[in-house]
Amino acid sequence: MLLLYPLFTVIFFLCAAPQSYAKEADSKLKALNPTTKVQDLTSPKGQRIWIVEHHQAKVVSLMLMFRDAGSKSDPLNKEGRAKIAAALFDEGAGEYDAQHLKNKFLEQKVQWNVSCNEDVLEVFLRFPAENLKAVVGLLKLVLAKPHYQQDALDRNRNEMLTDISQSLHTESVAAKIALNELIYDPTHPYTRTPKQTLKALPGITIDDIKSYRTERLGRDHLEVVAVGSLKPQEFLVSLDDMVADLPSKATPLTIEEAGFKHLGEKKIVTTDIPQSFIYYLQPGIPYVDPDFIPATLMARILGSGAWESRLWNEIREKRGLAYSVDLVLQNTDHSHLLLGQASSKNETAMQVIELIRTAWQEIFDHGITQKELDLAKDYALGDFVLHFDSTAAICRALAHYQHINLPPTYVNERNALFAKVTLEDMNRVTKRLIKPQDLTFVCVGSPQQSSSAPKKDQAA
Amino acid sequence: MKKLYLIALFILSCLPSTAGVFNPQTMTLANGLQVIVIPNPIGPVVSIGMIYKVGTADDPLNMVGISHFLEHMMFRGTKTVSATEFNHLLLGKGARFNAHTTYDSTVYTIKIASAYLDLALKLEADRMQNLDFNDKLVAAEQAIVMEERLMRLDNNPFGQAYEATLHSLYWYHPYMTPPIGYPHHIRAYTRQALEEHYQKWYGPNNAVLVISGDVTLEQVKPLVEKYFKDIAVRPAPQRLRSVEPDHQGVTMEMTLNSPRITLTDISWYFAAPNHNSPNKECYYPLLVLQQILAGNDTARFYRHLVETKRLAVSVNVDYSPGLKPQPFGLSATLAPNISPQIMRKAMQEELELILKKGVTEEELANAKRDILAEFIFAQDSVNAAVAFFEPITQGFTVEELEAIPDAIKNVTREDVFKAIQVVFAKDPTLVITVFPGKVEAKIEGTIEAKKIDVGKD
Repeated sequence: MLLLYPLFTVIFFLCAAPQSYAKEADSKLKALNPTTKVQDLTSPKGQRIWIVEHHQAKVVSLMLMFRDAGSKSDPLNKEGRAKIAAALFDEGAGEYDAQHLKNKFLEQKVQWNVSCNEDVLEVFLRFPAENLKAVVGLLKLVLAKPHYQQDALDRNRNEMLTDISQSLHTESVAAKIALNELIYDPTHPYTRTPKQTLKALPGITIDDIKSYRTERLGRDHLEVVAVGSLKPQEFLVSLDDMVADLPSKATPLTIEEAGFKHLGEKKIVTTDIPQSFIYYLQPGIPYVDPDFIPATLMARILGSGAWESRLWNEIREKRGLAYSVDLVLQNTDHSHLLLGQASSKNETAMQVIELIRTAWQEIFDHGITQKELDLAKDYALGDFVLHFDSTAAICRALAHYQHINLPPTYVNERNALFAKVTLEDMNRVTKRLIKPQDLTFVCVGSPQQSSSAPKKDQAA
Repeated sequence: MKKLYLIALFILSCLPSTAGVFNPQTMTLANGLQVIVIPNPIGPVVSIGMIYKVGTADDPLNMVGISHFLEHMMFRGTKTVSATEFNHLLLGKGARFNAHTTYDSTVYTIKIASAYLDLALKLEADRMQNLDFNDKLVAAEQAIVMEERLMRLDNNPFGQAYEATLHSLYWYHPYMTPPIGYPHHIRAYTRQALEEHYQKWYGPNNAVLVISGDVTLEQVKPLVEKYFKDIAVRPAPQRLRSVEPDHQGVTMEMTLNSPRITLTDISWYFAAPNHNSPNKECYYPLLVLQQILAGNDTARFYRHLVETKRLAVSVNVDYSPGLKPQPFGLSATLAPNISPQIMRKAMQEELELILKKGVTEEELANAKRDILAEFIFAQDSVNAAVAFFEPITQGFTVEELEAIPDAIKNVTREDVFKAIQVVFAKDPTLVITVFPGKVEAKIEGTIEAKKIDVGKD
């Protein structure tokens, strides 16, 4: 527990001098660090929160993130429980029915969004700083006394059923389903697909939603970040009051690291569409691995989907075979992938797959160049500060850092960690991470098998 | 000619800083480049928008989409900076950059640490005047745009409905073609046509530069002068827009079924004015009406059609006209097992109700509150300003855009009532129903998987 954590841990600070336009910054790092100062605090009742005081825009962004409350927590045959619970957050609480409650939030000019992914449930709000007290009151009500009415459940369920069933006809969704079914063990929660949700949703009851709240929305699983024009010490007291009526503890959820199967295979889901959608992947690397940062640079050099990378150049710029091609390290709580996507007309989809294979082998065999590393590092250093230009963006970035157990000092240290990566690091990590034999493809479309050889006229 | 721009006459004006949204600082160079600066020291970052007053509706009829294609070619290098250099210079500073094309505008955006504003402006000025074209690059980019079209429209279960809708809404007007063009348009683009389009539309006098971030006009001015003031004025192009004729009371009825669609959706489109057409006084009342009908989950259509009658799972209203009028659109995605006939009857009743009684004071007050609330967050990020000023390409002035909150506040119930009569007293010009194809409508169906082929190769 963090009960005795010092109330005020200043992480850092820094300032870029906007007047020095002409001067190319010698101290690149300093000039490119965000001005953000993170305070790692603990409320009187023991709730940890990261706060950034930011008085430029008179607004506050607030994130409440519940660990292990995402769709992976759905019981078997209750797939969709977390998603529908998220949808019911503003459907009535305390003395307010659904319409009344929604109006109360609108009166306080609150932008808010409750969503869940496979791992967490996020409650994100942004509102004028002057309305802080009223918003805290409303949020307390929502967390303490949700209505969970049958008609709201039915209405939201119908909308979800409609959306999900249509989404199965989107090629990227179909490909994600095929990918999950291919690589994960069928018993792992990450294998769950929208198809199972469609089957299970009609059977979800109000009692299921109530159990979700009891089991998943425990204070011991809550991560909080607030950014904006607020007074930290006052907010700590409000925070305790706001979450006081939540269960103190969530039911522990033990989920094993997802293993991968069928690596190195190619799965084609034949579909009558003119352009094939391709996922390509192999195992990635966890956040906690000391090689994670070089690995992010490597992924960028190999497959960044914006303006410069080996795959971008070979597939899009030189050959015009795709509009989109991208590669990222995709990490969730229990899985880590090096995952890319590309789209190409059926006639050339197989050629794209071969080009990806070639690039994989090439980077494995010959590593990367100093020039590539320099550009990727410069980008990583310069881009970081762009995440810090709004309370909402800062709040989301910090919530992510807190969730993956980075220290609040990370904001200060991050650029230095990227700056010190050497070419030797990069080539060692590339050799360690890249596994051409594990490169796996999932393709949705009608790729033409015969024409894997490049045709001269295809760029015309 | 040279003399003209060397005089460098600056028109500097600071707008009153009371009721506006961004309270920008503005100036115009002697060559006509309009500069809008929105100081916002929220982070050491600037967001830059280079906006050209040209879009798909300005494209030659045999090469629709060439504005979008030119947008792509603006990343393919100039006579002085190759594409690779351009990318490396910006990426080396961590910049994010992109562009988009609409019917009335082409917009280039760069977000970068404010310490590197100089570099970004230098590159924007360079590609305003020195763009390099060669046949090989044009051919490569044509293939990419073809792939983009496949992704956005041909692969999309609703792409066909979207294109058919455009065709039915406009009988003459260039808004009838999607901004990316048809495949035969894309194939028709030539290097020469591109150069002509570029020379015609990309003059400084046809452009607006928006800079938002921790800078002031005073800081920006020397840089803008340095890079842009010597760019020559080009003959001011005329933005021709055919006039869409009155559809003379004709309602087109269209149905579209597809095995890749599992929901039923009905859209109704009504002819509507914009901010500079006849009945232009309806413009702001219609924006308020849009919010009243379907702005959020407390709006009238949601309450009536989704919550009370349970006929729809979602309802939408789209009113976003451009330089020329575009229709006021309503749409509803039907709840399971609701027939289109029932939904159409219910919508008919809704329209009769507002035609007769208009909207309530409470609805009006709430809608204004919710529209105005959005502006509170305008300065929480440097991103919003570029999009906010983009309607300059639709004929709005900076002053008009800044005064939107006032215009919204001044809308009365009577204004809304009058706008309702103008739009809804006539029958819709188009009603389109999209519904599932017969055979594959089963809810458990996946994306028509014919066979699954797994194997090592």
